[in-house]
Amino acid sequence: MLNKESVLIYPYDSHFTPLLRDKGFVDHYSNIQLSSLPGWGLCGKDASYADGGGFLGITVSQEFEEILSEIDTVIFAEADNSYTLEKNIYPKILSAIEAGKNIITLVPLNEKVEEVQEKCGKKGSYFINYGDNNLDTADFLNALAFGQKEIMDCTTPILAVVGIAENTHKFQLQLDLKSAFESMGYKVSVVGSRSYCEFLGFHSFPGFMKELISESDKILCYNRYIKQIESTEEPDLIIVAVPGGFMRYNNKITNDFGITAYEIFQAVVPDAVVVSLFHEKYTAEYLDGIMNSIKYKFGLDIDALNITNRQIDWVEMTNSKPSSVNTLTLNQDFMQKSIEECSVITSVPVFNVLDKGDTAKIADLIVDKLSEAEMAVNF
Amino acid sequence: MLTKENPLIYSFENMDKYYFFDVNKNKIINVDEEIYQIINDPEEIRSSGHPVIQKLRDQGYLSNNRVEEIKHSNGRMLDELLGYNLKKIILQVTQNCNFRCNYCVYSGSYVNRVHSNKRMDFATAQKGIDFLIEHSKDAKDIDISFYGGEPLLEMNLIIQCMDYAIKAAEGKNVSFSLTTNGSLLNEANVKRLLGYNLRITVSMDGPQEIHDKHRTFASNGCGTFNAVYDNIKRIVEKYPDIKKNLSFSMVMDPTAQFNCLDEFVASEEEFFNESAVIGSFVSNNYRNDRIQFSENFVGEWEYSKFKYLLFVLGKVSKANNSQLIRAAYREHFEYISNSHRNIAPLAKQDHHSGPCVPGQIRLFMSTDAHFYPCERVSETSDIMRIGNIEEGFFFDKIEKLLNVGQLTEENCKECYAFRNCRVCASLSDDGNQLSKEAKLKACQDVRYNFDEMMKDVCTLKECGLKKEMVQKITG
Repeated sequence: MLNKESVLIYPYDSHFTPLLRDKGFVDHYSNIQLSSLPGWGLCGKDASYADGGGFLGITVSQEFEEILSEIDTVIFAEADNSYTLEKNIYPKILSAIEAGKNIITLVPLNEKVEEVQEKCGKKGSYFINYGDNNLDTADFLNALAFGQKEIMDCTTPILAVVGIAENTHKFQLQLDLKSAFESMGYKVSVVGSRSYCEFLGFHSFPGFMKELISESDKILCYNRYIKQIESTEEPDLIIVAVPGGFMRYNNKITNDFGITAYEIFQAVVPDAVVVSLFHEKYTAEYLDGIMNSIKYKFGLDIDALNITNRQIDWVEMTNSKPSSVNTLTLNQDFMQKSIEECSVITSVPVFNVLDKGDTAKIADLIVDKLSEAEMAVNF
Repeated sequence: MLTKENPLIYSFENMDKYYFFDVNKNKIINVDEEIYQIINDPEEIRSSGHPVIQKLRDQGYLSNNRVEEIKHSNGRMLDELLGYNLKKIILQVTQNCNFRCNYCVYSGSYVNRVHSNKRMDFATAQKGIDFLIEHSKDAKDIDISFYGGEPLLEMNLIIQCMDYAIKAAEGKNVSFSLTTNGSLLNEANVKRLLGYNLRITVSMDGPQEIHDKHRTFASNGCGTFNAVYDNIKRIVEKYPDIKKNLSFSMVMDPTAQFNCLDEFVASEEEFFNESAVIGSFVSNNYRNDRIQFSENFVGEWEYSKFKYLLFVLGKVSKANNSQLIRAAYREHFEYISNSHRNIAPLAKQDHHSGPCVPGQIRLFMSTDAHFYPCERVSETSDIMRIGNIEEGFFFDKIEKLLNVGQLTEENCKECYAFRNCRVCASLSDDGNQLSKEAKLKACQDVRYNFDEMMKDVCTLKECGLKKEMVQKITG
């Protein structure tokens, strides 16, 4: 058995926490250390402080250089907080290279890639860059050129994970559901909502969906992408996650107007859907409105709701009119009560993915639904 | 009279037209005289089958839905709001001041608040800054503000704090602000302040004869206008970029001529351009006596407001647009901008607008490290002492301040200004505890202003105001 590496994650915040809650990721390393920027308010605290979920047992440090001697590899991660490549990331990459450490980047390095590659080469350390998603449309478009521009059906069941906006714990859901289904013995393929999912052993949201090609071609390419995964991996289930949100929030926060979600659901028709929402004191009418919006925009019926432990910071939204949603973390005991209250007002089962056991319940529910369909004499 | 069976509305007449404001819909509706009479007759409105009444009901108007329990929804998540999302800390770096302004809250005209030689040491300030960082993981931006007395008396401490905060809060957008009387805003001090993301608000009360009437040096009782004016003039000449971060706070003397103030701002174009001038009246809150407005002042103030409305309507040129007046119409424009929005009816458990979560938006830390909801409350009022740097927040007190509406629960449930209220705990404090009487006095002002605002808005609509005109002015 190969020796496991020890790693340092930088800059750590809630964006990375889903990976720390993923057994597959944690088991891959002998030791995980976390370094964060002091202003982000996480230093000296358990890593779980970032997402408000269960205790993780790793204390976030303010140090970086001091930790380098204890680890083999530095993972430069994306973050929910704002940072700059020039000021916060690149100098640390140079320090890590200088200390002879391997470099893994999940954050786009842009024009710095070659320089980092060269410096690592000289030091004899490795550099893997997951930050620049390179999957392009060429193969799919070429194939389309010779065939008919039509949608191909998938026979493998598809589970869609959709969120009302960013920061609704979609990535946590994807990782947890993948793990839950795998522990039941199923073979699962995932097309994640982030651009570096290959780092975790599954597929990233394809870069061609953001390219300047026609919307129809994007739909067709995405359809072929899923078909390719289906035929090469022969999974029992495909989890398809939608990046960003599915509806416009206000005039400034447009969530891509839900176009990405619309295109994905033109390309594939999911058999089951889990929708992630921010926390609010919801009314039955509001949840009905959300469900109807999804039903009539995308043609989807929701099987489970995940209410995340984040609530929109309405003071900030009203006063500053920011260009992205600012949210407040809610504690788990508060969430438990709130989920109970919410469950009473809707017929769709309500969960909180950070609550231990809830992912398994969602997985059971999905398996029940899909196996029911299996009993039918379908071809 | 409103009863629980009747619609939760407020009817009024304006310029020969009839209106009602619907609390559940938060909208003003223009009706004819016949409908107006129906809605004002408690018996008739309950049973009326008039098609217009019916249509309004179908659209959600004229509902008798009311709040059943006054309880602020944020009360459920105080741990989180104050634990993860503090936005600002205001450090009272000193209680000392080199001015003696007769309306200042520390002047002796207010309940138990006076100047003293108390100052904050760096260790305490540092703890305050750390407290903000520790409690703001969900806030994208944080602000550290320096307050007095006169904060620039503690120039070294301010610089020390800013240097520390920049390092300690690396990764967060940190801004600084201070409110000063301007006398120490000399070149040497300004040179040291340049380069920080600092917003400076200078108190200046108008032309010399008005300013000097209220703002005098502590040492000799002489007027302070020349010292402040010369300082600003000099630093703006030398460092023109500072204007972007400079604003002026003008406490308007209600016994003076408003036109003098207005003309001062207009005539000192070079002095005030690029900088905001924020006008306010002397606060009656916590005051031993009540401020009296002179007839002249009121007349000129109202006329200037009228001129401003003409400007908004495009009837007069920008020259007649006074910076001091604009703030008086903030609520009007807010209402106009949001008037098209549909909102959910009142919840069964709700609280009137007005209170923010005490301490979350403008946590005030006194020289001796006690916490207060903001700088506007009295440091001597026990109910306002919501924690300290060693023990943290006192959540029971904070919840009480947040739910200040419970003092006047039955009045609030029937109040038409429920969703447009401005009353918070600071206006309900009798100097030591929350008082129903103090709150009801504030409620009266709110309802009067809201009533006036609605009438102004209806008048503007009649005069052809369109939302775009407001957007053009307010950006």
